[in-house]
Amino acid sequence: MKRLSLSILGTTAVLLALYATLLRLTGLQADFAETNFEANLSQIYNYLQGEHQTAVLVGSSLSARILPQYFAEAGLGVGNLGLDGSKVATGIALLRMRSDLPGLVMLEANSLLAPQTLNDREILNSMRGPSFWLGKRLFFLRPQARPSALLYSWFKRRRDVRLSGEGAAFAVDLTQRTSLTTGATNAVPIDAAHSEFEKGLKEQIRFLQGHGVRVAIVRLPAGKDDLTAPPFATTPAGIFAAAMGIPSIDLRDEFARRHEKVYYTDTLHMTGPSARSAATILAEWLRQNHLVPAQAKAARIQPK
Amino acid sequence: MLFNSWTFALFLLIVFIGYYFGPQWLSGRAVGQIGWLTLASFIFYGWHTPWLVVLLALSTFVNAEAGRRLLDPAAVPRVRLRVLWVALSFNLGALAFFKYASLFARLLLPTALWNKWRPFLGDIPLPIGISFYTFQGISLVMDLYRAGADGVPGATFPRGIRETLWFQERTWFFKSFFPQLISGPIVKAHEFFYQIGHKRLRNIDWDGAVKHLIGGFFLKMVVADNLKEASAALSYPQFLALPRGSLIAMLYGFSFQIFADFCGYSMIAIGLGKLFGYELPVNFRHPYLSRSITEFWRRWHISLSTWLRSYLYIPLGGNRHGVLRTYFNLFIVMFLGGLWHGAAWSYAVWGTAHGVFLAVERMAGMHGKDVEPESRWSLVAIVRAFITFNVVSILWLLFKLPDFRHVIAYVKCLIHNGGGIVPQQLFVIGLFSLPVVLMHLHAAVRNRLNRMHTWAGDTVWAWSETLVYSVMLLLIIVDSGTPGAFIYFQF
Repeated sequence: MKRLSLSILGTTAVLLALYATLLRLTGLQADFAETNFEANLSQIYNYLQGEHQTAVLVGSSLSARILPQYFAEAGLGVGNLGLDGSKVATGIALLRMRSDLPGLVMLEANSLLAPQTLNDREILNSMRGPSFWLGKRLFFLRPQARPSALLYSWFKRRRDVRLSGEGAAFAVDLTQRTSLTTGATNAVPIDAAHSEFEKGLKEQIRFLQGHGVRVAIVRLPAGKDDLTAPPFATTPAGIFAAAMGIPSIDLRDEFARRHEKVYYTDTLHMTGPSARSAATILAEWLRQNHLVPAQAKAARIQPK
Repeated sequence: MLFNSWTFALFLLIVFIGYYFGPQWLSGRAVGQIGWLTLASFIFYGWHTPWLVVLLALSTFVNAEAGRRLLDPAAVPRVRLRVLWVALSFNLGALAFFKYASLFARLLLPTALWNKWRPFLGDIPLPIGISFYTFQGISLVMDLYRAGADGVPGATFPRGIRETLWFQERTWFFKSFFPQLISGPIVKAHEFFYQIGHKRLRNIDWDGAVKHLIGGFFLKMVVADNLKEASAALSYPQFLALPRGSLIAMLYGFSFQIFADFCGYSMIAIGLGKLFGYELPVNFRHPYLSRSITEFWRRWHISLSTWLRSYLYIPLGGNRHGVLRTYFNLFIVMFLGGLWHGAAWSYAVWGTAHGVFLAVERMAGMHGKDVEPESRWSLVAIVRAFITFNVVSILWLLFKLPDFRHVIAYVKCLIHNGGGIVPQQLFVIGLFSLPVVLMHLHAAVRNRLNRMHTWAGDTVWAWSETLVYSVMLLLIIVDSGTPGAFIYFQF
């Protein structure tokens, strides 16, 4: 090989080693990613490669905003499997890829009954390739170590702080809800495919419960539509929770009860401070309802 | 098989080892090497859809046989012309059937008949790369027809079975060489046949190959794949709810993405060609530095524009039959060039719009006055480059939204939607467009850089070059985007 080619390969190896050392020494890790796909991979690596989680929040990008550190500040260790554009069923499938199940699983009501999409399949497919296998072994190949994600996280954290108050994209005062106590059911007609999906979801939940995992369902605030949305108990997710006897909480009601506005960075996703409040409310609710699992207790399964 | 997949990495390793280090009968002679590469190319092509190799083989056989007959010194002009027409009809017929049958049937058939045939015509699969290898087939027969019995360098009339087999093998190789099989650069027979022969490891242009491969993979995996998700919302109905700033940012994001995606593919193809001892033509020369649409087409997808000029514009008469005929020829070439990209009228409109700009520039006397980016940049040149870039970017909308109703909806959103921009999109588009901007700036100030080279000396210069390519390779390893197919695969 010619000299230039060899020096490029050599210099790259040195740069890679320096980069890995820098990450290791500083502990730098991205909390967010600039694309949904990378954000999801990042969450998955955090979950699969991290320590045992006593509790996990499973859902879509709405859940992804409630970072583990917010729960930690509320005195609770909760992992996050909130995947952008994904559904709860994908999160549950991921839970079963570890041999130790968490003691408590909180399922996001907003995406609970939505069937998996192309996005979900893309995530699960990407986990079968050599890139994911390499990422599991070499931390600097994970999405959390991407230079662009590190830069984006830095920008996003700064922006979220700036948006915490009046600067937010918009705020919703949930005490103004038109259907706080009554409202029409927005149940959708259930076709055969959906019914099959729901059956599968029930089996997944029963599998978790059968291994001693406590399950809870959480309805998260999701933008302006919350003002006119029907009460949770009358929605398909609420009916599903009641039918399975799963404890549930509607955070919209809790925010309204506290007279606390919910702030959003865009049309759907909570800002950091609102997500922090959500974590605090959830932690309190879990304690009050004795849903907090014991630290050391972990059901063992054969990972899929 | 995708260049940016692990399967391809393994495939390449096996093909490379067999090509240079295989047994003597495989790697010691041109026949073995060409046969090995041709076999590998067919495996590459049929990896996901094996039946496609039948179509490629049929197309190759017909063109090879036509080529052989065209080279026959005993063939009279009338016979040669007939052979040419048969070969052209076969090539264009295959393209028309697989790519345009549905489009033209919908246009030409009465409604009742269309409804009856729709299930069949609407479901004809589009074989990947058919537009590219069909054009190469046409290039082969046209070049051999023009050259007459003398042939083109490397392709003369085969005498006897042995020579006929060797001619067939080389033609099959020319048509199927895997680095450029699916998305070009479109290689002309006269550019390639003379290169076919026995290759040795010591003759590989390693530096050229490594630089092209790193540059190509960087553009595809770091730039295009990261921009992909940010500009994905530029599709109906996703864009309807987006603010105006996002709509505009996505358009520019797509402009950079399509360049990085296609230029990246071409660079990888050139790099792979070098690994096997073949030189493929340059396909892009910093197109967004163009100061006119005429110049743009001398810098964008060069192998297609030179193909269209050689095998369509010039046979139509070019500019030799008066002003009106010249404009008509320009219009036809660009219309068909647009339609070549896809079976939708928006592609034809896209090509025609470019044709109109070419005609206007010709009227204004702007054609042929293009200057290289290395020359001095005046304020006027900068303004012209800025305008050209914007025109080209706006016209990409017809590529991204092939349904006219969606284009109109986009324009309405641009007028009626509120201001603002999704910050995440702005970040992604801003950050990952930057390498393309820098790449073009680098070309624009090359003269000054050359002076710096003289001033700094060879050692410093070599280290700077090494560092740039090393950083690109590092980013390929740690900052690649969501892997996906190349945009031009759909054409």
